[in-house]
Amino acid sequence: MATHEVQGHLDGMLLAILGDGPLHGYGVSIELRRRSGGEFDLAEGTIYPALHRLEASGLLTSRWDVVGGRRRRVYALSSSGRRAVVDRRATWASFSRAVDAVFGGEALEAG
Amino acid sequence: MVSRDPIESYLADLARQLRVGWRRRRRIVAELRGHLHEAAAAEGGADWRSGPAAERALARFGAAAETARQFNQIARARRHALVRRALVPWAAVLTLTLAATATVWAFQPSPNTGAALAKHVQACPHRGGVPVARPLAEALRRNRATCEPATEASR
Repeated sequence: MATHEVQGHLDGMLLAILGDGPLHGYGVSIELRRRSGGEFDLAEGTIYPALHRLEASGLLTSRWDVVGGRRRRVYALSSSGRRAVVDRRATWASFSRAVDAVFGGEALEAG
Repeated sequence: MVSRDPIESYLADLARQLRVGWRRRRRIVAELRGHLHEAAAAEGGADWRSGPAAERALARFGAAAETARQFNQIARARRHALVRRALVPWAAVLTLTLAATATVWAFQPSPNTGAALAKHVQACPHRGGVPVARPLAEALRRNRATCEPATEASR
């Protein structure tokens, strides 16, 4: 899949991954690849600016952690981040339903 | 001194291109170093720091210039937001002050104040509040001009 198509949804996907529990950047990149079945093979460096942006906007919090002698910055959802995940899931569900309908040649009931 | 450790060379290159404060630069470099070490170690091999494992980890990570560019964009947006946040209260105070002054002048028109302010604003356009002050001063001058016959008559 084209990188720019993934980039447009990256923030929401990072929030969704962190919705299952705190992770460091490397763990997030592995989880992104795993959940997408290898389809979203982004340059791993691009997730860090996104994580920093989400933290700056108050949706994530972060702290240093040491595991096996290695320092890791671990990210977790803030309370507004948890609300954002719920909102984005709902928005995505209705958007993808509409796109599916358009590609499938069916009309959704207006509502 | 040029490092022969490809991960450290990459991080030094990235750090050079970052346009952020020193604290953030230190955090970014430490965070990315942790990622690259972990990714290279996961590739296997005893010499993961300098061998092909490190090169593969760097290839998956992407170009240093692109990563730095994205961090710089965030830093720029944050700086603009800070400036806006600092300026809004000052603009509000200035507007309220001008509005209060205008109200006082409107009820106590003096023959010279409006003209003096208009002259001052035109003479010193570099002073703050010009976009608000100029039309206000003009309005006050017009207001004073309409008051003048009454003022003269009352003498």
